[in-house]
Amino acid sequence: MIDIKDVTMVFEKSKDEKENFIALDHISIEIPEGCIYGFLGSNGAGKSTLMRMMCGVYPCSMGSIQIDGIEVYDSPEAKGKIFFVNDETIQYANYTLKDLKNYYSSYYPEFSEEVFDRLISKLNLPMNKRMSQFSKGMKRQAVVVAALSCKTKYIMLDEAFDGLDPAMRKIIKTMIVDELMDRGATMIVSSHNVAEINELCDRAMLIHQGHLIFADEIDEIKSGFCKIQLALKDAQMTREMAEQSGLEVMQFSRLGSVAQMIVRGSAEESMPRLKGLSPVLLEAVPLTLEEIFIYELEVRGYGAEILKEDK
Amino acid sequence: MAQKYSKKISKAATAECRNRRKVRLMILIITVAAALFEASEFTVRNYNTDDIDLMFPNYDNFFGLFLMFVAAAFGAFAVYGVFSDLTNKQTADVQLSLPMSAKERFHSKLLAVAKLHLIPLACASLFVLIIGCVKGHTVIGDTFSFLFKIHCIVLAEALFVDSICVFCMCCCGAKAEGVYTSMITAFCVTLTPTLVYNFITNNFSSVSFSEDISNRFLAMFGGMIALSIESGYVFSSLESWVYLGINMAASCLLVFASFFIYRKRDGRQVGRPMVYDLFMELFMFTGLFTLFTMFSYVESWGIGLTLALIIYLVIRIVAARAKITPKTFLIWLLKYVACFGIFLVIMAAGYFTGGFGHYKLRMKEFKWDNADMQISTTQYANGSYLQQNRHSFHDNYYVSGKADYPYNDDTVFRSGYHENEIKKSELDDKLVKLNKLIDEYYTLENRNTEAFFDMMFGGVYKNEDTPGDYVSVYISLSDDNTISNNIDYGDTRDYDVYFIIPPDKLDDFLKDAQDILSDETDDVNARIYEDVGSY
Repeated sequence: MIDIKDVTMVFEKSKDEKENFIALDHISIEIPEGCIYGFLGSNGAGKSTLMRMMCGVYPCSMGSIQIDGIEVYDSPEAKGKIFFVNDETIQYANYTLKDLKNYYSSYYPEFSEEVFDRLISKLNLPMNKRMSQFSKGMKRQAVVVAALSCKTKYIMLDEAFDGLDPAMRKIIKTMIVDELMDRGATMIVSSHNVAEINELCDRAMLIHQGHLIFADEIDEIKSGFCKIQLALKDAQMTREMAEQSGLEVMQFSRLGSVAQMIVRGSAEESMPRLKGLSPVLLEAVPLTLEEIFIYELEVRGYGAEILKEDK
Repeated sequence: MAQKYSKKISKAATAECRNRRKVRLMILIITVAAALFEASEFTVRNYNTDDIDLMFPNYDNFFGLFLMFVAAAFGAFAVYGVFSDLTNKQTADVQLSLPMSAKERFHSKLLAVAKLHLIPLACASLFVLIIGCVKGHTVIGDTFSFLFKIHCIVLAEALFVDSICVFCMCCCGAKAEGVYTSMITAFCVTLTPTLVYNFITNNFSSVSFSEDISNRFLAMFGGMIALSIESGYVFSSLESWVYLGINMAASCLLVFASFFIYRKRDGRQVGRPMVYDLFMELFMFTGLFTLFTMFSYVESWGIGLTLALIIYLVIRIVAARAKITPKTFLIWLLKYVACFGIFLVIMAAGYFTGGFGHYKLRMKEFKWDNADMQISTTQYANGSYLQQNRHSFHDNYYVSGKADYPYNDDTVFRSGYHENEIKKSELDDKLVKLNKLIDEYYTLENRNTEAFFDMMFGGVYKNEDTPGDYVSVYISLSDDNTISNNIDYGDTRDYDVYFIIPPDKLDDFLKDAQDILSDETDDVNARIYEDVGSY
């Protein structure tokens, strides 16, 4: 298990900045073994920073990150259990796949040449060509193969599916899931593609401006929100009326006499509260993770300024 | 446990080396070429005189050796590549997340630098040593010590380059800064102590002695080791080894210090030009100090200070990479002024203490066959010398016959100008008296702030052209073995001192000088005429 306890990350101000930058503010998450965990967040929210802290690139300014009970920073033992694929591949430009294999096999004792060769041939990647000559997608594939071959207990992929075409995305995802499921490993993946996280992960967390918004099983997250459509017979439904009914309304809109609202809480909890208003139309629609993402960030004013300027 | 650790380090170093193929190839080509050239250029020369027939190792040409030093300097490329995790975010992400501690990573990187640079260089040296010993088998002992010493110097230079580069890379978060700070620092560390030392000995103490040991510190760290040893700063073979050892140890110590900096580094500092403000300030100070010292020599302060300021500001602007406010600019200018102030304070300290006490350096004994003593005075009035008031005293003695060395108190020395003979004890007595004369008249009483600024900014060196009335005194002592050709102990030792005395002390001084040295002439030109036979 990866135990992230009350982690804060402060980047000290540079000479032209007035204040230190708090990238993460008291984040606590538990990542259990054998799951696929999605990191969601706005741009600059702190996902990559948290990932770098989880693999020992950055130390915690406060709090602790432990992998299977071992503090990760500067610990070879803990770092040997986790593999980090960052969002760039330029560092491997001069490598051939053979070099890549040799490189990681020197560091990871469990490195499996069999897995590496098998997956490379499956993806039909050229073994002796420099990676600088690869397409972005091919580079991604190669690094993911290297990550899987290291056979670490945890794999972290930062924006790993960027640059892959939909078919290749599917192949890579299937390949990852197959490999990881076989040995009960854990994958942590960050992506802006919420649908992808929705489809791939069983758990997810949402982070915004360094603050954790939620972290749970995806089903639990989804069941925590619902979209309700409602129409009254003689009156117009207002936000205040919904809130007076005891609902936490995140978004409210109206189209003619039909009101649509996103509320926090499951449909089973929310619907009975609105029945007192004797609606002529009352139905609940489950929310996608993408909608939750958007509404949660909208509530926090994310993008509001830009939208206001556009108007 | 230790075996497991070393295996891990070795594997990581091998992985690191595999990624530096271009650098490895570059260094290999240079070292191989250097070794081949040097081996072919090495020769054993025959030295013949009437009495001596000597074989000694030497080179026909120095191109191979030059290439060896180039290969030693190429270690910089190895270090810049291997330590790129400190300056490249993507590399840092990969390397810092590998299952290694900072200590293991640092050790593996050092081993990688050794594999890429030092080991090929050592192998090339070994090759030259073997070929050299084959070629110089007639004097194998001399050949071995000659080549071994030279290649230890090459190794010391390589270690110095590597250590400076490692240190600067550890203190910088951007590659550009790592590169230019290490190049400038290596240049400054090598040059500045020598420049300062020469400035102090030439101008502040005016004492020069070929057997002076105080300049040996120059060989202790930095690239001066080759010049120091080869130009005779360090005399005996044993001392050469001691200073070579100290030089290498100092480089290793710098690497050791770099480890503590490396260990403190993490991914956050990657990309920041200068990670530590202290390093930045030390670097700027070292650079400026070197420039100021250089401009002290060329005596063009107007251009010098401006040029130094421009270089200083350019580096500051490049390293800042952020918004520069008028306040920042002002702080930089103040730091520049402060640096110049510190330079002047150090120079003033050197001036008022006679080169930090160096003016008290004396030649304590005559060692060889031929001893020469000379005192000359010139009186100046309003800064112009008075021809009629120049005095010169000169004594020269050489060993009478072929006496056994070392000479004892009763060994007879004959005057080069007269028929008289004296014993060595009497000759030594003259030297003692001469030293007392210098002690008595060479004081620092006449030193003042005005004279200091004249020296620093007016180009007034060794008090020459000083305005006012004064008498300049020049005393030179030397001994050499040119008479008996005693090659086993061959050496020449020179001592000279220059100082000024007030005109009212001239008569006393001349009287004292005449008591020590018998031969006097009022006109130096006449003296030369007597010696040489023509003007």
